[in-house]
Amino acid sequence: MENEKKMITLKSSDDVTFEVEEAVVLESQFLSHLVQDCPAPEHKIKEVTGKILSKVVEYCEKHVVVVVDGGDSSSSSGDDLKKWDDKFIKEMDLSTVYDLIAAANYLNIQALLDLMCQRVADVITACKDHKEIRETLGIVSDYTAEEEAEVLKENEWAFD
Amino acid sequence: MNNNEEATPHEQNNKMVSPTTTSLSLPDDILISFLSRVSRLYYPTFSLVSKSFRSLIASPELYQTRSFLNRTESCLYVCLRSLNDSKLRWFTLCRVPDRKLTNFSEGRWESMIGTEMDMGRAWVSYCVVKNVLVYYHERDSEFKCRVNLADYGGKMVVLWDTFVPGSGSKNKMIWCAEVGLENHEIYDVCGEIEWFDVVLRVSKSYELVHVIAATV
Repeated sequence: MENEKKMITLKSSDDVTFEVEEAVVLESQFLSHLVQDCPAPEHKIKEVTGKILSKVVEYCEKHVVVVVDGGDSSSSSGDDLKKWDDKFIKEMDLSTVYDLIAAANYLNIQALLDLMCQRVADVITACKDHKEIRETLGIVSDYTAEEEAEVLKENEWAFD
Repeated sequence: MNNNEEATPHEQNNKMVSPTTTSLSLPDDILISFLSRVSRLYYPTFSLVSKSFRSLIASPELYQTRSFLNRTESCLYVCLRSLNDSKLRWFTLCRVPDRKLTNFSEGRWESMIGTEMDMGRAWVSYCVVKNVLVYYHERDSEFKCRVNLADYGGKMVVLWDTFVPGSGSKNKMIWCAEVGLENHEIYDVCGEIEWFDVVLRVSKSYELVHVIAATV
């Protein structure tokens, strides 16, 4: 398989197509199994939209290139990749982050999943209290006022 | 995530509100995935977000994931007893980035395992650090308080309480010191205090009973 680049076409739920090298596809455990088991030129991914799949492809292409070039530009490539990751997530709104988490989970791309989860973790730890976390994550509390008071009481010494 | 049956169409209970979201809610394993990346210091706050957050924070899966991701933290569990009703309360001290420990409570463990201390005997606390048995016996000290020792990842932690100055003996402060132990030619073992500070403030009706360290 050396040198000759096998191309694979991925099609999103809304029929947006992406032509990528096989190496890029192999970043996803799910897709590598799919490609091995079913050697068709095109694979439809019903669970992921074009918008999100484009992000996934962008991430995988970046990461696969660095792994291949790793031998040449050793340490700086790791730093560059980190910088690239930071920029990649910084520009993203939370709803895209959620969709990417779901996509990375479905496609089984551990590094992308880690990156996205870390981003959510950073966002929620920056919140000043549970109300801000609810607002940020769009969660509606299912506590009654009494239940919430009870939990608060249990934690009371934690917040002095 | 659990939805309320009576949720109105306007409420997306526990769902991520976003018009562009294709997958509306994140499954528990994903929630665990990001909760496990956060210091346990934040968990009391998270438990107030929603019932499902609270149950996830108490779930064994979360701690398995933390362990799997190598995100475990060393914490000290401090047990205090209320002299008014003899109830035991456990506190968790967690390391914060500036190295010190800070506290948050983990609720009450009422009528816990009945390890009542015999009040008639002298106060003794001991721990094993790096295969060395270290003990504290009140007869060896002019301390008028209960000193507790524990192994904390190869270092020794010492906890003790004092009254808050100027509070008219109403309030107590629980102090913690972290001591690095090294082998010494003459004394066998030599300790160096790396830091010490007040980690908890409680009313004088509480006394220090026990401290243990765990990594979760």
